[in-house]
Amino acid sequence: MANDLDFIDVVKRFGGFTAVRNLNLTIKQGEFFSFLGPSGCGKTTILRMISGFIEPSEGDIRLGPRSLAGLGPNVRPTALIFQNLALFPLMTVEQNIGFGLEVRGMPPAERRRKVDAMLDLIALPGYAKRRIDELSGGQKQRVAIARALAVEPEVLLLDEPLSALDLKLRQHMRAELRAIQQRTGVTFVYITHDQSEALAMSDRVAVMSQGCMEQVGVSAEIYNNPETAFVASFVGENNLFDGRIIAVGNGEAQIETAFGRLTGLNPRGVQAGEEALLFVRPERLRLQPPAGGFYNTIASTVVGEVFEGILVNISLANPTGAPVTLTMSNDGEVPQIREQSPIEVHFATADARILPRSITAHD
Amino acid sequence: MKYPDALLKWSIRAYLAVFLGYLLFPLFYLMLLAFNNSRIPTHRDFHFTLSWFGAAWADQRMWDGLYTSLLIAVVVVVLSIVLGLGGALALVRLEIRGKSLLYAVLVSPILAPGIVLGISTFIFWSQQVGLRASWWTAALAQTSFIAAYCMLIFIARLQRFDTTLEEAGLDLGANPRQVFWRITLPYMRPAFLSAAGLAFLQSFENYTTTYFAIGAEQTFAIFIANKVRQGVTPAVNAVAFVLVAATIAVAIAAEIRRRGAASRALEAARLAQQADVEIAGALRPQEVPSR
Amino acid sequence: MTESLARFGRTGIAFIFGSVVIWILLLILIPHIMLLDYAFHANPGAIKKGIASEGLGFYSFGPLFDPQDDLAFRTFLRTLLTSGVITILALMVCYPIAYYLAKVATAKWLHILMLCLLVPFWVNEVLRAYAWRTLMAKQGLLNQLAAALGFTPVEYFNYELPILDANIALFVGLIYSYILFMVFPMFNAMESLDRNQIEAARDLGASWARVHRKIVIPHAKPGIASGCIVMFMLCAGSFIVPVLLGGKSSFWFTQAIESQFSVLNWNGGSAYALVLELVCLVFVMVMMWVFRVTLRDIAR
Repeated sequence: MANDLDFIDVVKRFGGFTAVRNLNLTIKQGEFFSFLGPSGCGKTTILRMISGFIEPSEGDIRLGPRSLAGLGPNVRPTALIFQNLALFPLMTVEQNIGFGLEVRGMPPAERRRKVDAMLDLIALPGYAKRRIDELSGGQKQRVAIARALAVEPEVLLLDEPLSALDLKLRQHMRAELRAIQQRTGVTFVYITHDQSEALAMSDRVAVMSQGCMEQVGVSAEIYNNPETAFVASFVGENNLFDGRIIAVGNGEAQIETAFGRLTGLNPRGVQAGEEALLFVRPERLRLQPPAGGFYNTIASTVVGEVFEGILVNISLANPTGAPVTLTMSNDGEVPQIREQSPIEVHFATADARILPRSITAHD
Repeated sequence: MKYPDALLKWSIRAYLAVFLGYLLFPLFYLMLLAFNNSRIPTHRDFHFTLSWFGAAWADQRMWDGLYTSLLIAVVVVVLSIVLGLGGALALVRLEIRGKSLLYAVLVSPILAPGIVLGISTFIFWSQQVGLRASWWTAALAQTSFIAAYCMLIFIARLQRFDTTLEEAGLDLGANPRQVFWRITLPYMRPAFLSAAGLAFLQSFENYTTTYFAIGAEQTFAIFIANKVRQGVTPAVNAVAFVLVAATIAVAIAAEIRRRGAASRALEAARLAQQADVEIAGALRPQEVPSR
Repeated sequence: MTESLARFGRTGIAFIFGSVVIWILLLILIPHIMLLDYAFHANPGAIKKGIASEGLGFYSFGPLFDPQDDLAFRTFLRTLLTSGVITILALMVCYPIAYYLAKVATAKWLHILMLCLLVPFWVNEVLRAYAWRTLMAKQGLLNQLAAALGFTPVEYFNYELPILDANIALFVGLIYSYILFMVFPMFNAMESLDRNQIEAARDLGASWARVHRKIVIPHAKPGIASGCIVMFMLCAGSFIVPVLLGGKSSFWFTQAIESQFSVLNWNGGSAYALVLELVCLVFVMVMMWVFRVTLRDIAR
């Protein structure tokens, strides 16, 4: 039975502070959905409202046709993976995974079978009798997931579970989480501030800022077609030029900036005369003009060149703001560039996006 | 090491040795005298004998006192743990106003002289209420401050408790009662053990509070004190020997247990670290350097 | 409050409240009120004789401040002065010990040393006083040693120390009985001091005196205060140690209380006990003020 998770006009206030404003959203059953945003954006509050530790100030959260209002966390068909995992330190792996089953009164034999099935799912067969303090960070992660999945929740909530792990482990666990989600078909609601994580793992991503949902969509959409200035600058790196719109037409607009007149796509329909921002990704800047199509040119001087292994970042001076960054892959064709030397970079009009100046969608 | 630093270090060590000697010598002297075949406790004209142990063993009043002390100790341990746990939970986990005042009131018996606790308990139950003072008034008097010590141990343990563990329990479907019994209480187990040990010890060896609260009855400590006041044979030393020897045995046993637990924890941490390195793919198992 | 209710359920809250209330009322508050009640009333014997009135009054406190018979007052003074001096002495003696244990001793030695300290700590105070009584007897070991070295034997039980008016045996016995109560609180407080701070200070050129004055002592203040309070309280409230070691003339205030009780003067005994408790309370507050610590800091 498909039970979607619906948020209907959900608001949460703590005293005078509004943590979540007017959230309207449907998370489809079986979806891997992420809330992405900086600290304080409200994503943790949303998670705690779904799990039942706090109730919305206004609005309703429904799972399928049933409202979750007033149901305590031990009654809701949700399971939460805490940021610190919260594994019971004095119990074995088996006792941890079986905890939810035990409190529901499942007989021991059946419990053991279920626990063994879970251990197979997380690729730790034979670890049943191990104690928690004997496990590594990655193993503890998996046990936490198994423990939550053992109670067969309809929605699995994950609170930045990978933030404490180091890089290689994190990448490994990303793939594992995704695989487990697809194998079990449970709805995953994942919160994180790491945008590459959210983009890589999710079916859809919601970008949050100060309690508002700025944009929701699939990863490519969020990255390539940001709808607000916040999304454009928070997700990935982005170069930003501000100025005034001079001309509008054909889904495009021309903007007068410190680097001259630049043209880009105008998805939000900004009018002539308005203050606006033009965004272009560092990887879309080129040292050579693109073949075919319209393009912009920026002239500046080199400030620095940073070698990062796979990528090379070249910074250009920007009198009105942060240096302009060009990112290219280390494909053997990186030219030698001297600091303070003049340089021209180019980008296609189709790669540039003009967005209104407001910070969030709701200013 | 520079000369004055070394001098400082060794003079402190000598100081410490003198201090330890000052502490331990009287006890060993006490124990030694148990073996001397003399009418009064002395080290002179030393002839080895075990007869004083026999004399002590035969003293029925000693056994009575021991029984009373144990009875009081058991009651005190149970009461102190229960009350101490309630107090600790109230102060750490409940949201109520006036916590500082509550804390001050519950802890006040520790800061009051034992004689005052004994007297006030005696006056209340024996004089005012009219019941005859006996072992249970002593137990009540002792509980007033021993429960506070237990409470402090529980508070320290509770404060380090990760409340997300309780949230995890709730989230997985347990109701509050189940969370308490299966998650919170098991966490408190080490605290229960040390509190029980401390309570038992403090109850068993308590003199002043007990003396003033117990009326005419005798505990083990009171028995010893009376023997010493009246006029002494080395039988008391024999008893002292057993007590001190038992104390030393318990201390050594505790230390052995502690060392075992510590080395197990170290080994577990090493294994866990190794596993993480393997997962990350940075090193293959054979390449992990062994310590 | 509602969140607690959700966490513990109704029975849980009832248990917590119940135990706390019982504890406070039956074990602390009511007995104390009784003590106050008895202390501020005259004993029935005096009322019958007509010397005292029946209601609330200070009659039972009288003997302590009687200008004609200052025995009780001198006992009181002796107790306070001696306890105070012992406290200060113990502080000075134990500070280096606590510091060594907390900061200098290696882990291996620390455990062994702690064992050596805990064993006497756990031994009954009666036995500890008894040990010294044997050692200090007229023909005891100490006097034997003194004679062997050519000193005159000392009458430990009769020689009164100046000003304090307490005899040597009692003085030494009290120190011996309670000195560990000074070591452990200070040790606990010092242990939490990060060794790096000390090393950093030394690295920057501070002398040991300065390190202690500026870094160790401020950090250890709660432990020092706690140790002093406990030491004073135990000495002033000690009973069996003065009984066994006090000799004929070093009467201790607790013995004065007992002598009231032995003639069934519950009121007089309560009054004295109250005075003792008040003194200790004042001492606690003075310590808290001098060292600028709160109650929470002191309790171990």
